[in-house]
Amino acid sequence: MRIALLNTTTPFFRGGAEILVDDLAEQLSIRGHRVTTFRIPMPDIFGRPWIHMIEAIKMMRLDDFDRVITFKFPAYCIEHRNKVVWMLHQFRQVYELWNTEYGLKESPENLAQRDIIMRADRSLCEARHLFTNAKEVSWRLKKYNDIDSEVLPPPLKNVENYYCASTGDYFYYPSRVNSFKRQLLAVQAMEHVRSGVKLVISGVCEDSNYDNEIRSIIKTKKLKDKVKYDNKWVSDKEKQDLMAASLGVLYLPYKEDSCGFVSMEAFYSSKPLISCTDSGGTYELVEQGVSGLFCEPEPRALAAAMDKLYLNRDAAIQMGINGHDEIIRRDITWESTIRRLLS
Amino acid sequence: MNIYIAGAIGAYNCREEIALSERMLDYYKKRGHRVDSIMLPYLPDLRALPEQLLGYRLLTLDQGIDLLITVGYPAFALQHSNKNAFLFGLAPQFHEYWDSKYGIIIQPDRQKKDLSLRSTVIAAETVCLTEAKHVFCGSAAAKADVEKLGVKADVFRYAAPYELAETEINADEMPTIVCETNLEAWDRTGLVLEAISLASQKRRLQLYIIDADDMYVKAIKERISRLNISDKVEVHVGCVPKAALQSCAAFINMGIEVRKIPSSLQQAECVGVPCILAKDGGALLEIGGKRNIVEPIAEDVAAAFDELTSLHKPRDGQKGKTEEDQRLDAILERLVK
Repeated sequence: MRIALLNTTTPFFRGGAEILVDDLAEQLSIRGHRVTTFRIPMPDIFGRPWIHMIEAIKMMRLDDFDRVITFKFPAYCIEHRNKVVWMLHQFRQVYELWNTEYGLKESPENLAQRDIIMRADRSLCEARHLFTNAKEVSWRLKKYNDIDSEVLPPPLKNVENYYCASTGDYFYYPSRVNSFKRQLLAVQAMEHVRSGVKLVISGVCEDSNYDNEIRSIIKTKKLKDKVKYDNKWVSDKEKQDLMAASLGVLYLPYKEDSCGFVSMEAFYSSKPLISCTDSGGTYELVEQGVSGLFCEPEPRALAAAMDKLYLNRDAAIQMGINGHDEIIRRDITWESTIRRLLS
Repeated sequence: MNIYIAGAIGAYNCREEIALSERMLDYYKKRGHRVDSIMLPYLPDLRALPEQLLGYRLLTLDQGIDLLITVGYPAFALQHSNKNAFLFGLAPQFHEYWDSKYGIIIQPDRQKKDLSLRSTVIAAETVCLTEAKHVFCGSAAAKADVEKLGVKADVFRYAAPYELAETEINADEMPTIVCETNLEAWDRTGLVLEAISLASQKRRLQLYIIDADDMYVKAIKERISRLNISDKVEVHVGCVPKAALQSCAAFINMGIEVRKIPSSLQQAECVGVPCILAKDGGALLEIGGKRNIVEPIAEDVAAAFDELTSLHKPRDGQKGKTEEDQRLDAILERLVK
């Protein structure tokens, strides 16, 4: 089959969505399909450029492809006879983030934009199949747009490379570093830990202000011996090794759509996961007290959770085993995923 | 510098655009620039062309991009204050194939509409290319087309690096002619098949269909069967493998008024394979090396086949950078100065 993967992307940025699309392209190619990945650049600012982008995508043509798989707003506005949507998220700024610090503020102009975007989202109904990557996303789609969808969680690549080596003395947090992922919260928590637990953060921070904030806390609160933070990507091997030797994994996003690759990686490595009560999709995977812990998004609460597992290593190890059993039980594989996408 | 490489490709016949984009990405990354590369969709449907061009115009590209390099048609329709366009040709049906069986033949009942469509597209191409800081074309023929629009252009040439593969050459083997095609009308694959049917000497044709819909592949196989040349023609789906290219007696391309020099032809030139080309081949005639240029009629092509001998000489592959590659490097370096 000749397949087009259509995604929207911020120039020079590569995150989970981009990795997922590339992984899907690779997996489809392995299975003998001819795959082309298209990426439409997203504008920096809201307003007219976004509206123009919706129109631009509607004018694009992919007729020569047998199937088109799209992922994010507004790529799924493309018109095609065999369009499949595997939605990672909508334009959240006009839905659950509306009138919050992360979304659009109510104003006549933003209300008009919101209206246009909600109308554009009706094009989801044209899809042959509409999948989402998480229950949270399906729930929002139903709540805000009254559209039904099927949950299809993204599989992890090369799961056989994840392993458990030992139970170390640090929590590991691998992810892009930004205010959404809240690494700052983890660093702030380290001021309040009472045990000898440490923190290792891996990831690139594109926001220099945020990077400075983190470094400032480490310096002023004298956390240099407890927190290891380098603003850089690590290779998959380095990440897997760091995870394998950790006590557990942190994943603290704000209202994330899905459970996130980090959660799955933690469980494949047989590590417990600590997340926050407002982190969103991690609830779909992690069970409180069984495979991890949830805490309030507040430094002292997070510190207490980290101390708890540090001081009870047997419980941490058992949670890691439970997490591993759970992820295996769910059988989220590329084989089953592709079967659904191409049905 | 923040460099954005934006290519435009369809479902078929886009190897060269992809190879060039990857080359540029690699070049700039190695020199410490922050670089990203994307591909945008394009459908070579004449009636949908103005809408697609407009779609490209509506995209905003200002997110910290210092240099925009566009690759292929119609990526140059994107807007940016520092846009540099690399293209292999314009929309052929409105230019080199206009009023011919390969493009649009003007019919009395559609004349106004077709002329209007053509002038719209040409006007849009002119505006979009005029905005560019530089325009580079993949052949002198394409450059001439662009300059007819009143836009100044230069020529670039890029052939992906080629390393000689290990092959055994059997001097007693029947001379083989290799043909690579997308089964488009302007490839004139039918002409090649007719020629092999007329060749008086024993010759084998290896037909490589790079990129075509399954029904066209089926149709060509049926045609081979009807011409009774199944014993002379092998059909393969995919690109020419190195072993076949290096050991063949000749490479043939009967494309008419071509603007994009296919990478396979450049590779053939690189390893010293004699190439059989048509007099009206357009940019194909710009390649160097051993060439046999013939009239695009079956008898003349058959005669060219008959002239081939079974002697094969080992050929030196490309070692290090070619002159053209160095020229491309110089162009890429100039863009970031």
